[in-house]
Order: sequence, then structure tokens, then C-alpha cells
Amino acid sequence: MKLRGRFTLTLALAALVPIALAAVVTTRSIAKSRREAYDESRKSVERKLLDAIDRREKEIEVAVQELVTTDNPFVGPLLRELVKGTADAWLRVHREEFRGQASALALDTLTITGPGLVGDDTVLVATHDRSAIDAEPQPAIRERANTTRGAAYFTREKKMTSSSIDTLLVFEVAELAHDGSTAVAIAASRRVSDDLLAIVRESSPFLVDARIVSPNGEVLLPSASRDWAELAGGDGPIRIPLLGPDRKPVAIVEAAVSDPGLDELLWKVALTAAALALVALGAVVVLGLFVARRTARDLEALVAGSLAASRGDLDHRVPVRSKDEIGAVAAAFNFMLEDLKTSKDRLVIAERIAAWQEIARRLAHEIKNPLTPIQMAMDTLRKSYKKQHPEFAEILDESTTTVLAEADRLKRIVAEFSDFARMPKAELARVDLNDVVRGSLALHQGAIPVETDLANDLPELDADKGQLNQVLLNLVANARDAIGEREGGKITVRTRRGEGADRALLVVEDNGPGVPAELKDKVFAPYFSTKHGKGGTGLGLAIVHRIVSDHGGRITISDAVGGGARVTIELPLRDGTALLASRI
Amino acid sequence: MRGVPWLCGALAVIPVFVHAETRPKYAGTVEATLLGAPALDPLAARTHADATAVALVFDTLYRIGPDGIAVPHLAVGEPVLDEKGTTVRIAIRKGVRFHDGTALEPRDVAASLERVRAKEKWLLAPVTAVGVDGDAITLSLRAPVADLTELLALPQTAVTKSGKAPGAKPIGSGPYAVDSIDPTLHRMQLRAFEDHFAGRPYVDLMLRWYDTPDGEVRKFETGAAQISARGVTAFPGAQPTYRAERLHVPAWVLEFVGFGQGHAAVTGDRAFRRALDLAIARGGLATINSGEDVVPVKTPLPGAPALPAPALAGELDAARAEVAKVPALAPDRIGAVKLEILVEDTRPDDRELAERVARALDQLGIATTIAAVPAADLRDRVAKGKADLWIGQLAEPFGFADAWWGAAFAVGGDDWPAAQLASGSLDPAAAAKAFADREPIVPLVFRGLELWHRSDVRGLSYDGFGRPCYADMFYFGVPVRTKP
Repeated sequence: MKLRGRFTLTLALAALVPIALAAVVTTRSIAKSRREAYDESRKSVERKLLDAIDRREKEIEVAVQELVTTDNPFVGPLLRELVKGTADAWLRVHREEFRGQASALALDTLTITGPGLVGDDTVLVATHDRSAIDAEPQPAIRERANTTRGAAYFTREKKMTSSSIDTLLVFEVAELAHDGSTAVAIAASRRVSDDLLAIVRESSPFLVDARIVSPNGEVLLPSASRDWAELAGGDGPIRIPLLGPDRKPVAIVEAAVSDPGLDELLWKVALTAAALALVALGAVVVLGLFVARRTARDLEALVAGSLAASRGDLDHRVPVRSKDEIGAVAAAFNFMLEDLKTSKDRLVIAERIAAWQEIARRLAHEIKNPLTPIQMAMDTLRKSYKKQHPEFAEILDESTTTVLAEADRLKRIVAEFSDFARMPKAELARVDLNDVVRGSLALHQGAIPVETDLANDLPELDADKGQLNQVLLNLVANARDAIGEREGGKITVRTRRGEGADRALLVVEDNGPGVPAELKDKVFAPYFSTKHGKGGTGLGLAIVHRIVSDHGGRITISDAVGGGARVTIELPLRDGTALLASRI
Repeated sequence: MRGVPWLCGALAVIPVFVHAETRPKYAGTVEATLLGAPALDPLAARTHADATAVALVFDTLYRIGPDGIAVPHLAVGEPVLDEKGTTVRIAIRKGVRFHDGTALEPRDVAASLERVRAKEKWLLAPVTAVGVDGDAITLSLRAPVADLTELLALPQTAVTKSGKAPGAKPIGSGPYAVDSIDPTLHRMQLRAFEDHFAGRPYVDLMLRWYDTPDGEVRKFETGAAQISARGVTAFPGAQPTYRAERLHVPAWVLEFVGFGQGHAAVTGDRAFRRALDLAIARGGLATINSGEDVVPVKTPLPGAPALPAPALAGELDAARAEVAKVPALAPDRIGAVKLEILVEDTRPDDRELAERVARALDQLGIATTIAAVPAADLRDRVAKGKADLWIGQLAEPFGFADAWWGAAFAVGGDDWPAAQLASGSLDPAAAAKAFADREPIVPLVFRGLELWHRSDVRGLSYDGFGRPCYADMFYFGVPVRTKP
């Protein structure tokens, strides 16, 4: 993984792990706190319902107390009419007034039973159901009055509505009102309506809903929520029985407290954490990429500097952008290059001095060799002339021939040195190496055959065609000289694609005597030659080495299979910088 | 002939009211009450409102007077029988005109009676053919009929033009022509017919019907209406604003429970009908009134003794036993049954009767709903069988038993009386037994009739149906206030 990736990943982990830990801790803390609040809410709901039921019971008890006194403007006259036996006529006129009385006391039903058409429990007044009047007897009201003695209870009462008979759940109070021996039973009730349940219904922070069911589970007052089962799941509903006159449950208030907000809250926390993590991740990635890019850019600058240095560009400098460690490395690198350049310059000067000494030595040596025959020829000529040697003419001819020959030799030596010194800079163009081989060998004339083995998949490369030509001719000439007069001498020129596929190989192989191991490091040095005295100047392989180096290539010499020497040249298919970079 | 009593009456009352009233106006409009929305097709007449409206717009051959005796009306005289007593000739009064000015001919009478024969089989069951003989019609009878004139006085036999059903604006020959009918505002404007053969009525009429009991009373109290069926009784202890007089009408209308074809498996089962009959606590029905007499009954015949206070527990047990016999009300199916009780929205007391019926059915474990609908809708739904139960009303002449039996069976869709009446008359005992067995309807109450009229309205009388004879009424238009 590259530096950028590692750096970014490390930063991301550093950002995400604390956020995740914080989210977990927060979630657990919230859940615990909510649970405590939830338990308190359940208790509060139960208290509210009990208080509301108690309050309503007391209210209706007070209302009925107003009715049962003989001072009541409706019940009092009714009792007196019953005593007189004229209640039927009186009720015919005044019955509707009880409806107003019930309305004034906010009663939903007001039933009065007493002596009448169908016995002592005839319904005389029924504000909620006129069809009950003088219908079947209702002894239950008197019985309840005797049993409960004015205490409120719950019951289910039938009431005629605009279109049908509905059974209502009511708070009811039954009492007896007397006038002497005449009594009527009064039952007054208020409907248990949704407002009882509404006092506990809320939606925040907990979802609280309530309903009323009969003991056998029939829903009498539905919950506001559609999905009661889901609401009442978990801890189950709070159940408060509503007791009838016989103290048995007539109905049950069920209140459900649900905390759907907890899941939502936890979800929000998780979502917030995720969002934070995402934002942090984004920031970290951006920051990481920025920092890594800066770092990588500085490192890449160092790499480029290294490559430049490897190419010998010791003037290259890496920019120092910061004062941190990377900046220090860059500064140190620049200092190192500066130092190297200084060392190299000194080395070059030293080498140049050594080269010039060698050249001077070689030149002196080369020049000294012809000078001796010249000097001896001229001395012989002068002496023979002074002596009037009879063979002076022959001596003259021989001496001048020798002087001219040595002068020619001196001239050639000077020309070779001049050529080496003036060798031009390579001019690169797209070149097919195989074409170079074919073109060069077409010019080759000699007794020793040259075989070629050229690769078909070799792409073009950037090179100076003329210099490559010279390289090949030098190597072939070298091989030819090495083979000399040997029988069966053979030279093979081969092209191949290098192992890394980014270089081309040019191999010249002969079956001559080969190169001794101790000379393999020296053969490319200028003026090294095994052919001194045979016309060799020792510059041929030095020129080859320099041309190859100028192309960013490499040259090695090794033993050929079956004897002989093998010279291998590696040339980059890209430019030299890329070739070097690929080796790093 | 009728003008004489008017004049006599007017002369008689003038001295009495001379301090407040100068002379009666031979004009003006009196607003009066109908006990519900009327049907203006004679053949559809069932209720007191139907009968009243039909009598104002149409004429019959005979009319039944307050004494219960039928007297000639469109007929010139009594029916003339042949020797066998099976062919009757009835001469038709000449010069009678319909409201559009065309003459009423014997063929109109014959066609009207033929329509009755075709549609209301019990009513003219003894008649085998109706013909025209010059200025008279002839009726062929299966057997001599004792009450033929009473039958021909029933509102269903009223004469329509060419014997056809009246249209949206009925044209009859009666004392009043219909100016307008507004079912939405519950009113009908009647104009005194100038050419009525018995003379022009004294005043025009605005008839109204109400969907609440106190609506009518408010009108009367404020002086907007001169005649009311409820008077001031709806406001206990209240003093009427204007001096008013109460007229007791010696007539009755029957309120009953009818059965439709909806839920026929229940309502068509006689055990269910018996159960309902037993379960209704009739004692309490007497309290549903506005001061008029109300008599709970179990037979459709007025004049029967009032029912004693019922032994409800026993009757309820019997009713539940009957319900158990109804397959459609088996314990596993009864919960799915919900019966609708239709009531006419302009007869408020019917609503209370329906509540009593609903209570009875509730005692039997049968759920109900009550729907108040316009009279026309109720008639239409009952006729088409699209009703479960309905509260109906019948108005027939008080002393004419055959009419009550015939109408009671007929309104229950039962033709049993037709065969009996074909021979001339019904055997009351057989009719009672058949009625008890077949339960075509469940009678609830007979209610008496009363009318309150302002003191400046005079000459109000009744016929044998208890129908107000508005054509004989006159009006001073000067009310006497009872309050300063």
C-alpha cells in the first residue's frame, strides 16, 4: 500500500474509533435514562386515571344528592303527585322538564322509577330513552340504590340515539328519594367518554394511549391509536377495573405507555454518530490526502532528485517547502548533491588530469615510437652522405621511405586522438534497432562471416542511428580482430527484447579467444588495447562505452557459450531517465 | 244546499263576536295542519293526511258524514239495485267540472273505479264489472253488498280524470284546486275552486306538515297558523297568545308496524311477527300523545277495549320463545341481523313509536336502526319491498269494520279479505282469527284526533273519517289575544 493510502487509513481509524465509542456510550446512557422516565410515566398515568375516576365519581354523587331532596323542584313535586295519585297526569305535562334538569346537572341519563302503570318499579322518567317509560319494570334501580347507598359505580346503560340503541358505559349513582312512605328510585349517570382517556393520552416524551374493554375483552371505548397491540406490547397495559354495583368489574381501563421515541432517539444518535463519522472520514480523507500528497510530493521530488543525480545531474535541487523533517531531508539531500558535485568536480579534474597524463603518456609513447626510426634514418642518411657512401642512393631511398612511413603513422595517431576528442552529442530519433543492424552489416566486408538473429517483437527506440552504427561496426571490427586468422571464425549479432520489456538488447558474440577475466574491467577504458603495435589505439571500445552511456544504456562483456567473447548492450526503450527510474 | 248552514252559522256567531269581529271575510287564506306529508293519488291514500288531502282535491260518489252515514256526493242519489240485487245503477251529478274546466263524465267515474278494482282488490271485491249507462254508471256484483255506499265513499274511490293516476299537479273535481306543492318546505297551497258543484269554499288553504312536534305549535302560537292538531299542549303551562278552541274529533287513526321484504327471512316469518307483537310494551305507548286519546291495541279495529297493563315478563318470555322458532334468528346468526325501522319524517310521534319497537326488538336480542325518511320515499321503499320494518298509519271511517280489516290486511300485502269481501261482507270473528294467525301488520295504537283552531275560524266540522271539512269553514281574520 502506498504512503498516501496508509496515511489516510491511519487517520480515518483515528477519527472513527473515538466516534464509535462515544456513540455506544451515549446510546447506553440514553437507554437507561429513558427507562427510568418510562417507569415513572407508567406510575403517573395510573395516578392520573385513578384521580380522574375518583373525581368523576364524586361529581356525580354530588349531582344526585341535589335530586333526592324533597326540595328539588322536580323530584319533590313528583313525590307529592305520587302521594296524591295524580302523578300520571302531572308527568304527562312535566316529564320533559326532567330532561332540562338532567341537562343542567350534565347528566347523560336520568331514570326515575316508582309506582306506576307496570308496578312499583315503573319507569316514570327516562330522559335518555323515552321508550322505557311505562314499559317493563326496572327493579334494578331500586336494588342498586339500596346496595350502593349513593356511592358511584359503573354500569352499562342502553340509550336511544338518533338512529339506534347504543349501550353506554356510565358512571352511575342510584339513590332513593322519599316522601313519607312513597319512594322513587333515582339513577343518574354520566357517560364514560373519551375525555377520561384523553387526560392520559400524550405523545411526548412517551406515547400514552388508553382504551376501555369489557371483562371479556370487547372494546367499549377504543384507543386513539390504531395499533393497540403494538402500543401495549412490551410491559403490557396498566389495567384499572371499573367496578359495578356488585363490586365486580364492569369494564377495565387499559392504559399503554410506549416508548417508540427511544428507538427513534437511539437511531438518531446512531445516525448522528454515523454522520459525524462520515464527516470526519471525509475531512480525514481530504486532510490525509492533502498531507500525504504534500509528503509524497516532497518524497517524489527526492526521487526525482536521486534520478537526476544518478544521471549525473548534480545541479538538480529538491525544493525545500517546509521546515519539518521532510524539509530537513530535502535540505540534506540538496547538501549531499552539492557535496557530490564538488567531489565530482574535483574527481573530474583529477580524472581529467590523469587522462591528460595518460593521453600525454600515450601520445608521447606513440609519437616516440616513430621518432626513433625517423631519427635513426636521418642519422644514417647524414652519415652516409658525409662518407659519400657508394650506396647512398639506396640508403637515401630507404631512409626517406622510413621517414615518410613514420610521418604517416604520426599523422594517423593525431587524427584518431582528434576524433575521440571531438565525438558529437547523440541526436535521438525513433530508430528500429534491427534496421540499424542490417544497415551496418551491409557495409561489412571481410572473410569472417557475420550471422544475425533479430527479434521480431522489438519496438522502436530513441537513439542516434549513426552512433549505434559506429557501435556495431566497432564491436564487429573488434571481434574480427580477435578471431584473426582462426579457422571457422564466426561473428553473431543478435537483438532481443530485455527481461523487463522496457529495454532492447544488442548482443555481438564471436568464437575468438575471448577476454581474460582480469581484463574485462579494463577493456572499455580509453587507450586500453591489446593491439598496440598492430595499429590499435585503444579507443574503439571506449567510444562504444561512451555512446551507450549517452543513450542511457549499459554495456557488459562476458564469455560466450563454447568460448569467445560476448558483448551485451542494453538500450532503454524509453528515455534514459525512465530506464533508471524503473530500476529504483 | 251547503251554503245554508254556512250562512246560518255565520249569522249565529256574529252577535257573539261582534265586539271583535265585524263580518266574515269571503276570502283570505287559512293555514292549517296535516298530520304528515300527504299522498295526492287517491289510490295510495292510507293515512289521515292522505285522506284529508284527497277529500279536498277530489270527490267521491258518496261521503260519510260525522254520524257515520254515507250520503250522495257525486252520485245523484242512492244506488238503484235490480231485482236480483246484483246490478247497481248510480246516476252521476251533472255539471260537475274538473279544475281544468273539463266536465266530469260517468266514464271518468267508471275508469276510476276500474283502477281501484285492479289495484286495491279488497275494496271493490264484490264488483265484477263497472259500466257506463248514459248519465250513470253500473256495477255488476257477485252478491248484494250491504255497505256499498260506504265503500264508494272511501278516498281510494275518488274520481280522477279518465281514471288515471294524478300527476305532479293533481287535477280533481274537489272543492280545492292545487296551486302548488312544495315537499321541501312541507306545504301545499290550495285554491278554492270557483266551479265546485257544491259551491266555492269560503277561504283558500295553506296546508303544512312538520318534522318536529313543536314546529306546528310555534306556528300556532305566533299566529302564523290558524289551525293546529297539537294546539298549545306542547308548551306545558303556556298561555296561548290567541284565544283558541279545541274540537274533539270522534275518529281514530291506527298506527302499526308494517313488514317489508328486506330481511324477508326474518320479517316474513310469522313467529318473528308474533314475537314482536308480544314484546312491545304497549302500556307505555299511551304516553305518546299531545293530549289526544291514545289507546294501545293489538287488533286493527277501533273501539276495542283498552289493553290492560301487560304482564311484561310473561309476554317477553313468550316472545323469546317465538324468536327461537325463527331459523334466521338462530343464536349463531342473530348477531348478524340488524333491522331498519323506517318512519315518515313528518310524523314525529311515529319516531317515538319506532323507538318502542326498537326497544322491544332489543329485548329479543335483535339490533335495529331507525331511519326517518320523507313520506314519498317511505311509500316507494315499502312498495318496492326495500324495507325491513316501517311505522304506518291507517285512517278509515270509524264505524266501518270491513274497511279497517280490508285496509289492515292490504297494507300488510295480504289479500285474505278480498275473497271474503267478494261475497259481500266480512265475518268479524273470522277476520280477527285470520289477522291473529297471519299477522300482516302489528297494530300499536289507535289515536284520537283533535284540532285547535283560533276563535276567528268558524264553521269547522268533520266527516266520518275525522277529516276536517275545510270547505265549510269561514274566517273572520280578527284574532282575539289572550295577553296584553
